[in-house]
Amino acid sequence: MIGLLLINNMIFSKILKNAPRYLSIRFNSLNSYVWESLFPENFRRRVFSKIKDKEKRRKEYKKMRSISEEASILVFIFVLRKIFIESSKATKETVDMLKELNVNGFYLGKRYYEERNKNVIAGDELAKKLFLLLDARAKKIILNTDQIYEILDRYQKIKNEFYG
Amino acid sequence: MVNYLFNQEEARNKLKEYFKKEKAELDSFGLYVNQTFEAHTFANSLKWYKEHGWNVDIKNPKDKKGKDIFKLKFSTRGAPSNYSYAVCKKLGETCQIRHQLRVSTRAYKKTKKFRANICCDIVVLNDINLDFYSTDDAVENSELISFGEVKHMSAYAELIAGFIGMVHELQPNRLKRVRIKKWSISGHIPPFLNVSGLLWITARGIKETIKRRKYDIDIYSYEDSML
Repeated sequence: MIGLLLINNMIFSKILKNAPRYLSIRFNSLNSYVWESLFPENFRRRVFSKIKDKEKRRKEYKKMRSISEEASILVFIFVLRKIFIESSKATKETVDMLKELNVNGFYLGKRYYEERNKNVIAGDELAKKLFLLLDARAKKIILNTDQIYEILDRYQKIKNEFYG
Repeated sequence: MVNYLFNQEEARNKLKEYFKKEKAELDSFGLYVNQTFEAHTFANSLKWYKEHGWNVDIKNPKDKKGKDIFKLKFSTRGAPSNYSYAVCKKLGETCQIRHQLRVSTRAYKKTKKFRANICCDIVVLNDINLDFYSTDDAVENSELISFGEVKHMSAYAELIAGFIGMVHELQPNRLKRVRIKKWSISGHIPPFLNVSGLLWITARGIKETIKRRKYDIDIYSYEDSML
């Protein structure tokens, strides 16, 4: 099992190879959160205790990981997109509020924020590009989701199809 | 690879490409995302005062050429006079709204060896002159009207408890049974914690007990925003 877990972590570390640290940390914690939400330890123990054959147990574990990983990717994209959009929204509101007080813009480090310049809408742009990575089915799910648990509920149903 | 609700493999590959292609922009976004939220809370505090009938005026430091420059502070270091702040006026009363300002705790006495002060993200204070304050100088607690803390994250119980501890140090009178039936908001924003994310379940529990205990503080989050 530990071997498989390492392989799975390797798969994700490949995806996250070029991701900034603040995102890879978030993804790793979401990945564990999703795994524990869908397949908590007591559930796994119950399932595996009924399977005596080592190879069959391995296959079962692989199936669980596969469901959990797909859910993790979707949850991660959902959360990331939300962070980008919310950040842009906050920046636009800040710029607009300051404009009302006769402040044309502000600096964060060397980045200048005013009106709807590229720094102000940077989050929106990142969100748009992120959304394009998904196929039509995933896009539909993301657009119809408000909270993480709604995505998890969908995968709970898939889990229930296999495990009742 | 089995797909359940969407094409997992395609998404993985594209995600990998995305991180590679957008690396510079993502790095830069990550660098400023916390500061963006702090700036947003500062702007929202000004808006709160404006919406409550105060006249809000921004005061800026001068750049090298003597020109006004709007400058926000995102570190605990730096003299207050080098950064922008707001002066608010209403019915003959004047106050300032500053950010990242050091304030002495209520119990601190000047005669003590070590300084007891806290650098608050948002500070509402009496209209006093801070031009000669250095980075380590703290505003006297008696000048403090209210304050706010900003966290770009979801809140867990410990975070809320930490904020209550901060209120206890700065304005312990807010932790009495203040919000009884007759209570209505005064002219100023009560101390607040503003988190960009959600309140996890235990944090919600603490928030409920804050209400029950009638503390004069507010917890804002993604689901219950400041304005």
